[in-house]
Amino acid sequence: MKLSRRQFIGGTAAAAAGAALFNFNLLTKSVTAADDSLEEMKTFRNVCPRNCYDTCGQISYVQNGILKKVEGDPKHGYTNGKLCLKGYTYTRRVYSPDRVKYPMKQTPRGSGNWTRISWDEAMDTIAKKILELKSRYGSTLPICFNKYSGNFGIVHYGAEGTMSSIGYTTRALGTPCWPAGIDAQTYDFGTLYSNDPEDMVNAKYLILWGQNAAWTAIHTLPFINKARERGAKLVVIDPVLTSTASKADLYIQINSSTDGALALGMARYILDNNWVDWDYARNNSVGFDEWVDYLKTNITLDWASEKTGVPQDIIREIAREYATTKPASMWVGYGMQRHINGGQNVRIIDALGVMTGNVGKSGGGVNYGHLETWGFSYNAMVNPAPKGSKGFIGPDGKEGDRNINMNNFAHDVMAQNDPPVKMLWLACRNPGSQDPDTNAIEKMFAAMEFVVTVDSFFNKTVQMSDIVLPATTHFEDWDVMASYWHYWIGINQRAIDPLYESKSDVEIAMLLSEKMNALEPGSCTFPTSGTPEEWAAKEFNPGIHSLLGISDYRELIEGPRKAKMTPASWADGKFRTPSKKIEIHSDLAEKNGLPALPVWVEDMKAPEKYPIRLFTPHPQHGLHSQFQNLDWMMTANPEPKVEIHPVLAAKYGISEGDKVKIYNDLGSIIVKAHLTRTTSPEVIVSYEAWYKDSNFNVNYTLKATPSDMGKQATGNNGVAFHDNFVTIEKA
Amino acid sequence: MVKQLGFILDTNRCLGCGACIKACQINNQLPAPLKWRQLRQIERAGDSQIQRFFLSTACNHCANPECLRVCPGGAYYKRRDGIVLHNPEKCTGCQSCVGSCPFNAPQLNPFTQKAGKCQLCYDRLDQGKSPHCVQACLTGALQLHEIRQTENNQLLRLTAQTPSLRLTRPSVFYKPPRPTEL
Repeated sequence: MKLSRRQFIGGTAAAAAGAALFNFNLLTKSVTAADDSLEEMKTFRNVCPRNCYDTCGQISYVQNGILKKVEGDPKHGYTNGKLCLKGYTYTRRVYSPDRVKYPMKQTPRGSGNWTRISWDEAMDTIAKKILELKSRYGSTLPICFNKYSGNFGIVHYGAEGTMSSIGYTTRALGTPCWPAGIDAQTYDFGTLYSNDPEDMVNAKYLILWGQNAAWTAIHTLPFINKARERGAKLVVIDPVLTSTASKADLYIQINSSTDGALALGMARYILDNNWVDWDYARNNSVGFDEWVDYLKTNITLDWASEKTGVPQDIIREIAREYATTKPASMWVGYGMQRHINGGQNVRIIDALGVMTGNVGKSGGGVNYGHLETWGFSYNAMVNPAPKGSKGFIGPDGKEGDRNINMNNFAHDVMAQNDPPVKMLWLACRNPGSQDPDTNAIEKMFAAMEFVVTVDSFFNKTVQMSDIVLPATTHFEDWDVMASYWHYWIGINQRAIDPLYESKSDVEIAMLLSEKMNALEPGSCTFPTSGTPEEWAAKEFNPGIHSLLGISDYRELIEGPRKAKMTPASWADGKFRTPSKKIEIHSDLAEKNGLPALPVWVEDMKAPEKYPIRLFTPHPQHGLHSQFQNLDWMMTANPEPKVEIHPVLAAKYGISEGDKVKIYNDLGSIIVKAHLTRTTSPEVIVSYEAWYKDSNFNVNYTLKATPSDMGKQATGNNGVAFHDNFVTIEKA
Repeated sequence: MVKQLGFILDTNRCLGCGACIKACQINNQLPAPLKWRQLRQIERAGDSQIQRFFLSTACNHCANPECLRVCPGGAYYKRRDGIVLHNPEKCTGCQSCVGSCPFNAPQLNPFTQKAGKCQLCYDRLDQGKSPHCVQACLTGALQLHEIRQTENNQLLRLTAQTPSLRLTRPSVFYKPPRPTEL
């Protein structure tokens, strides 16, 4: 038979596709490869629910109940039909053979000896343990709950709801991520509220301050590039020459933790040249002149240059350009506030924005993040405690949950004795991999009587648990997601049936409630009915409807919607501080034991024994401990590395590819060296991640040192992740 | 040959984000460890300057493809638009192409025991669409052009001038990277 060229090509494609699809079909067992043609491809709307600026709109392609591929949603105006490399690996996550498929128990804990159990047995074991602890201690306070950002879908707040519904419990309170910067902007403006990132196209000058958008918020880059095509200059300030920095017009390699000193130096030079927007600053803020006096008496360019390692002519150049090229936008990354003076440095940068009149302007702003689009009902989260529940009496005399510090979790769990913590429940959270001081975390887990973790993979935390409950992925669930960066909200449809026996946090809560009430009527208030779609629907309220201009959540199935807000935050000048103005002088900060003014606060100095700073920034191939373990990521980035400047490496006799031991008093890790001039001789860099079949974890050497701020808005100060000092030797 | 399609990469726009590679993998449903597009990070450092840039590379759809020349089964074919196509039905898995391509474009699929490589999403091109990698590129750094009609005074080849390169004449160009001052 003679084939035409057209047929030849078609045949090739079918053969290739058929061969590759075999894997997926084998795993799901529901259809055979031959059924492929039976059903038309269906599409669903999804939203990537990870802890990420971009919170991408996604379209999932489903055929015969199988998720064939995931693409960007072209109706999403910020992510614009594109995904990052992580977004394209979702099929490998959903159909990963490593997924937790069934409820399983591990005997003994940590042994790796896992046995499949039924949901009924899992719920029975957990419910009995909860009730036993309650009767032993007279309350549910021995049960400690820790959840954060593994899935930021709003319905996932049902995990918190699970705990509320059994009584008052011990809760890990706070956020490890960004609290110092949140407090800084809370003191200054009343809350964090950034411009629409799409508005960056209007900037004539851009400073990315400790922000590696190429890896962590890549969808903003097209808007920044558009601004650059219109003539804007891009400046990146970072201790590391990141991927983003390598594309900038000007890169400034600053000494770590001295960002405030650079901003103060700039402010002094702006003042000396009278490029100050006096009208804006004086009309909209309190304490501005007091700060000007501080600049005049305390700050010199000599000092700023000495402190930051940035030459004076560069400080003059960016000060002049930033103050005179308007509007100018600043984007403050979360890395730069993970220091003992991090919040204070953000306050100084805020003041620089106010001084130049760049706040409240389209194309301007001191942009950090926002929570303006998060006004959901949190229906799944709010449940009354069962009648007769005994709680913890707080300092204000009110009875409730016992809050402990999420950012010193191991220590705080162990420190409780009235009653002690005996059981952990973890959801959307992997402290075994992500918390500081891994040794302390391991010890604390070992001291528990019972640990339950809800997750999709056998990660470090699951390895330290008694029972693991299989979590659904977002393709198997209904949900709704907002971003802390862009202004869009999207609905997340159930695209495929939950694989194996996986369940969402809310479905788990309903099952637990049924079991607990069967064992002891009235012991759990969580509802026992509701479909996943109904749970998602309940998160909508008139406020969200009007913000999005919809009257029903189903309208979002047609496409995500952007909140009706002005492109520039604070454009109305109505700040949310006690004085209703920008508080350059903040009484609230002073009351909390911090400087009232954005003045310089010293950075942490390296101890003599451990002279090298270990940076552990966000990785490219994962998000915290997610994604890197998937096969495509392991192929792209098979092993961890530590980046060392050649001069430093030579000092310690280390060559490219050598195994290096990184250590301090807390612990040590061994990792392969990569010599590069992208970092400075004072800083080594190893990206946090959880690799498949590896014990690599950057947090073994990391002390739980608090950052300076966070308590005011988030309950606890953050972690000074980047004030981690070590030494190295050839392993 | 009427046309020669080829990739042009602007190294000043490529962030090395890897979305092109993963978009290729998911759309061509390539099981690990296969990927038809690779990423290399290049660092050239002097005392006061550093060039840090990324090269996203796939099959170069050479003007004189070595894979086509060496394949004993006649599994390779060059279209009139310059795309070098591989037909797995004719592939015996002998790996002559895998061994002879100077750019390591064809790879052996461990599951099918046949070679495979970037087919330049010819089916999409035939429908007037971009290849998946170009479509996925967030910054527009990766583009597909008719190479012969492209002004190439601003372009360069970054690969070494090996004899095999002169022979195969790869259809790929790069916009030269700007250095970063330190």
